[in-house]
Amino acid sequence: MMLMVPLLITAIIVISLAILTARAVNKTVFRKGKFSYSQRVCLIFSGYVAVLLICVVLDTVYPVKIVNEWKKVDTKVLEKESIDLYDTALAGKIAKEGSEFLRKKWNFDYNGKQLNIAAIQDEYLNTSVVVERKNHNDGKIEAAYYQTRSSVNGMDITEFAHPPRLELAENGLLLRNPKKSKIKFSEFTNVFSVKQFTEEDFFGHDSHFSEGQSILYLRIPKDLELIDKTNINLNYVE
Amino acid sequence: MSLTKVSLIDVVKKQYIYKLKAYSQVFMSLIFLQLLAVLFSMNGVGSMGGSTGGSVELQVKYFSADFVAAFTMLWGFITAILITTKAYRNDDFVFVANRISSNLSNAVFLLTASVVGGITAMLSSYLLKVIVNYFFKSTPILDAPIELLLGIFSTILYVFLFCALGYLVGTLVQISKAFTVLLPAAFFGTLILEGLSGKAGTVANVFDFFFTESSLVLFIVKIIVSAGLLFSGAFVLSNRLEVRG
Amino acid sequence: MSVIECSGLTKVYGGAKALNNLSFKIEENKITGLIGRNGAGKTTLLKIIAGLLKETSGELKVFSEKPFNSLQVSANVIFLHDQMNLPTALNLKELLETAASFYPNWDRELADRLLDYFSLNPLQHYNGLSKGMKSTFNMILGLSARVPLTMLDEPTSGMDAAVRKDFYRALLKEYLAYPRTIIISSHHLSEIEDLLEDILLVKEGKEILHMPVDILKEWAIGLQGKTTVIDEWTQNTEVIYTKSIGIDQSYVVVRNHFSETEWQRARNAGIDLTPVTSSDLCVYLTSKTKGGIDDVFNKG
Repeated sequence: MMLMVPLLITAIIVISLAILTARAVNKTVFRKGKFSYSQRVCLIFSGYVAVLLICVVLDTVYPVKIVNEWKKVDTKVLEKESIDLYDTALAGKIAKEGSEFLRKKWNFDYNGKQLNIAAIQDEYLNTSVVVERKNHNDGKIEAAYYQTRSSVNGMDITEFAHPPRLELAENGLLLRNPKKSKIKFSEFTNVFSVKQFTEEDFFGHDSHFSEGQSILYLRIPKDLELIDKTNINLNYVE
Repeated sequence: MSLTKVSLIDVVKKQYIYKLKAYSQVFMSLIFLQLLAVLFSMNGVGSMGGSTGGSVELQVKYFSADFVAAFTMLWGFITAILITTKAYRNDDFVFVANRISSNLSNAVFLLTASVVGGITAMLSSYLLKVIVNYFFKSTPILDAPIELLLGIFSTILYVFLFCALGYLVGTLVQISKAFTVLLPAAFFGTLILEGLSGKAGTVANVFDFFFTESSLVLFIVKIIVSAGLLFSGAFVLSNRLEVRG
Repeated sequence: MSVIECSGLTKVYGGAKALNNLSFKIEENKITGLIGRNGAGKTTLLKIIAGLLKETSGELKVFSEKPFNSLQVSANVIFLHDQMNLPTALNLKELLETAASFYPNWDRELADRLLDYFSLNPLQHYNGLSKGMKSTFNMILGLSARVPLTMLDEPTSGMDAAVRKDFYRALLKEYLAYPRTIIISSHHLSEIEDLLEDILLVKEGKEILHMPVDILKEWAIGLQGKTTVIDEWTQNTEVIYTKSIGIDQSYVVVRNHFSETEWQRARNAGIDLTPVTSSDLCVYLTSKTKGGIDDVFNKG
């Protein structure tokens, strides 16, 4: 745990500071210094408030910089993107209108009449599969993966979304979900006493995650028969 | 020698100023508790995890002044109990006092303490931000604007409510030592019973009454009325207390 | 005007009667000594007068008001005793400043000078003081406040002889310059006798007598002589105290009812007449038995 070491050090510092302060303040009860106890308390407390105010200034002047340059996005725009992509895919116009969302392309040669298509280990595919039949039988299968932007809590995390894995094997075209990408980040939120007025969910830390729309667009030879082995739910372009 | 005539307000004012100095050690414990809370907050006050969406595994750590506010509320409760103990309560009677003036000046003192506690609790969120930002830069950090005024105001109200509760509890204990056992027993007993029965009980209802109130105006009214009731209860009960020891 | 009016005052503390049907009146601007054994109820009485405790039954009026929970009484009464709760966070200087804010008649310079004279460090805290110094500080508080009713409970406990002397002088000077009603409860009656105007003697929660000091001095007389003669002379009088001396001599204390001629006859009969000090008289009056401690050893 990378955070443990600095955490421990800070813990030790804070606790020893606290103990030292408490002792110092207690000792001053009997010390013949110039300041009285209540004056000392006043001083220490003012120091504390000064530290807090310095932090306020620090935070305002140097606001928290978002590492990795995540961009802010508007979730509503993303929503529209997703819906639109799906529609264009079904309409077969994705190559033109969805080109900005193209992530990966595959090309396979296949001359058979039938092709099994399956998801490895029966897993549920996270991407929608849209199939377009070409006008001719050219023995080539073109696969293209499109995905609209994903975001979490209003920050663009598209770079973390990976395309699925495709493999043309002996028993067919195997589809596989991409390796899970881990996203770790921290977020500053408001106190619960503020959240109860500004948000609906008290005690809950909402994570607004939207993954965007992912589409695997297959262009297959005209007469190729696709046999869906694992209930992928293939959508055919009209 | 002619007799002096005094007015209640006058005496309460003088007692309040006296107490700001005489009870000043409570502010030291405030600093300590808040710093401790900041320390505890450094590993995040909450986290969210899970593989939402299938291809992405999310792990979010949340930072906020939640712990500090909670500790400050606890501090308010303890401080209020403290000033009802003999050593503090009888400080008044060396000089000019009667029970009402003593209680009133205590209430004003607790209000001041709540204001101080609320403000510092909210400001400590900046302290937390600075510490996490400058020392723990391991993961990307999302920022959110801190609602300072609303936070200060609502936290002050919460701390004051706990002060009122502590004051009543402390007064009860002063009246009869039996309450030292009775009150915790009643509280934890109710909690346990409710937990076992699975139903939402009184404690949970009280919790919801305040903590899920989303209208600011209603919240203010709730707190003021409840605190008022608690304090009045304590005032009435302590009116017959003698100054012993 | 009576500053304190008390009738039938009773206070019950956990089954025992600390005050038992006590009645007395204290007039304005007099120094009264509250005398009695330990546990006679002196401190309880003072606390009730100060409004700290509430009486169980009976009536008590201080400045024509009931003292318990009364702001007016509290503003005009100051009660200093050795069990006082002074906040630990304030040092002596701050305590004096607090007193100054509460008492309109406070004499700041007097307090500072007294503090200086008795070598008390103003930056020290009350609970760090020795017993004698605490009493000294209490005295400074009491005198400088110039409160209409000033009550001091065992004000000299822990003080050394020099400080005690100074205290009595200071008290007297203050009283003469700014007259006020003062009640002092003390064990050292012999020391403060000259200071006091009145004595209120209390035994087991009840008042035994309440009279000016000079009358008290003449109130009783001591007779010493042959036991038989003494017995004869005192058969119709209440004997306050007896003590055997030698085989056939005894010493008794009786009320001084007798006229000058009767005393002459007594002297002729071989009886020695001696005055009784107030201090001794109070001891005899508040003792449980008519004899003294010798009886304990004699009977055994």
